[in-house]
Amino acid sequence: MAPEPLTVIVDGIAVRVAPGTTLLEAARAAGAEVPTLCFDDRLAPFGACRVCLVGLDGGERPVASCTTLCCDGAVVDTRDPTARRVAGAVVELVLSELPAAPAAHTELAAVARSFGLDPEAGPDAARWTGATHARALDDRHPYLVLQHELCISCGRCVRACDEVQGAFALTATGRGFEANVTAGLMGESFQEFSCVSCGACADTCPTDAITEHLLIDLAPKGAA
Amino acid sequence: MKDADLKGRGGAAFPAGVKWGFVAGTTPADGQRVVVANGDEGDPGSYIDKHLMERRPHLVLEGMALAAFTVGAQRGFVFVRSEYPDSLPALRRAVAEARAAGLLGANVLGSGLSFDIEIHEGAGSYVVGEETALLASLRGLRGTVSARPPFPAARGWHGRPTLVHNIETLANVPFIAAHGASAYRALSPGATPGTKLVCLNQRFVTPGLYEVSFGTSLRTICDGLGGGLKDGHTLKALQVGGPLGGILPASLLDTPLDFAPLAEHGCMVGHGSIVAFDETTDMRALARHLMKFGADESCGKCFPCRVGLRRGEELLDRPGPVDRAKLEALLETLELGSLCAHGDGLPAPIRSLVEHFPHELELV
Repeated sequence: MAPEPLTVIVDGIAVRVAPGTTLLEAARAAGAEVPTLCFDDRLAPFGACRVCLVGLDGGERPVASCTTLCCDGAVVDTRDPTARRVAGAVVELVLSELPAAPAAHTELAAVARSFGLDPEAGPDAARWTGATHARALDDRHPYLVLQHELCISCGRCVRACDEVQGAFALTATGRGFEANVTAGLMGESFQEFSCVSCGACADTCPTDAITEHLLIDLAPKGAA
Repeated sequence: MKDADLKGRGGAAFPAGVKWGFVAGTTPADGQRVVVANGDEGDPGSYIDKHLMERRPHLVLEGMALAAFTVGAQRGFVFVRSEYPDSLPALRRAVAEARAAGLLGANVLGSGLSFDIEIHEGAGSYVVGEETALLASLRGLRGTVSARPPFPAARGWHGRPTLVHNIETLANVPFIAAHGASAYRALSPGATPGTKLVCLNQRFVTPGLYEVSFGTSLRTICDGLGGGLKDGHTLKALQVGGPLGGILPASLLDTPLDFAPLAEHGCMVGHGSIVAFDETTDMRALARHLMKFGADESCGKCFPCRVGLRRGEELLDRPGPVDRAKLEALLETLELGSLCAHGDGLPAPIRSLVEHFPHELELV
């Protein structure tokens, strides 16, 4: 027998969900738009980007909707002013760490626009400015190219490689602001490891830190 | 344990008896539960767990065994900070002695209970003091934080229900088992039960580790036990409980060492380190140092902490005035956005400095 469904109110709309459903899934089921950066519905929730913050039960402290499970009667506010203010500030911090504006077609640019931020404005337009990631291009793979300076450590490529493809060719490296993605800890390129060139990493990357060679080569110079 | 109301000594002050109830109440598929002692003591100025692991290791092991007996655990680990080279051999020797005495291993003292302990060396990360990062590191993974729930009590070491306690918390357990809850509560009448180990930094005349009752005033601790500051210096402020603790100006030195009175001033008991700053301390430099410590030690998983602490360091590092609105918006983002107590806790001392020393911070 299936367990009793739960009722959750999202922005005033009641939805019935199965136990184990996250607030993010319930919000999307209710038709609410909740921006995310580290979330990919093919992967287990990660809880790193904090962009999916929502208000819960009128509490003062917003919660990450991707890692918070629904309770019966939960009241979710995806427009909670505190949640939106904090999540928007986080996106602004992310834009400030890239040496150049993200390409207009990327998920990061779309998320920035959803918070009323101008993704084209570049790192110096953020309220908080400082160091940006040093440019580091790794184009040794025949099909995939890594631009480390665009990595925002969302872990999606690593998790896609582990959880979808099962190739375990990528790993997170470094800590704090120096966190990044790497194939080998000794400077190796990822085709030297267990990469099967499936492209799951490039497919999920929200910033173009990992792309397919051809897309880069074919793009006209200066195109977004 | 619930009557004794032992509060966790690692900083979060969670009631230990309640945590034991969570772990004991689980139904693991293979019947296996785990007890982990957190000896990754990384707060600058703190050497409480170091003392216990090196001078009183059997007290810690006995606390673990009593916890294991109560919650039904078979395996234990002590996670030891890699910067404590003397703690590892002291604990390993104590484990060998306990095994030889039949106090650890299969069928402890003929009781039918089996419990053994492994000593594990850390890999040098401050944030691994956070329990989910500690459990990741203990499994050989990167020392990064995970979202809770699931709490370790439900899903910890390799998915098993796991009781994670700070070293000092476990060292309180043998007294409670031997003398009972009322004797334990009587150690600090009218305050948080039990006693607290505190350690004073090198600015004091007599720095060192002291055991005090909760509710003892910080003035008694600093002037009575610590003998005041060295070389005729005067106290400007104290940071109690580690780098995530608020900063208490000397004018509030009569505040009792306990959770509620310190919280009233934006401070905490934390893990119990007491770091004194004298009249020569530049509070802007202190704020910058704290942000730098936070940025250097961020595990890099959640975005607010990963980027925000670096931006905080940079904001305070640039010579000249600091934009108060920008600083406060950043502190809010860290407090409400971060995944764990590292990014969410570092704003506390900065807020204290903003409140008590705004001119020194050059806020505009």
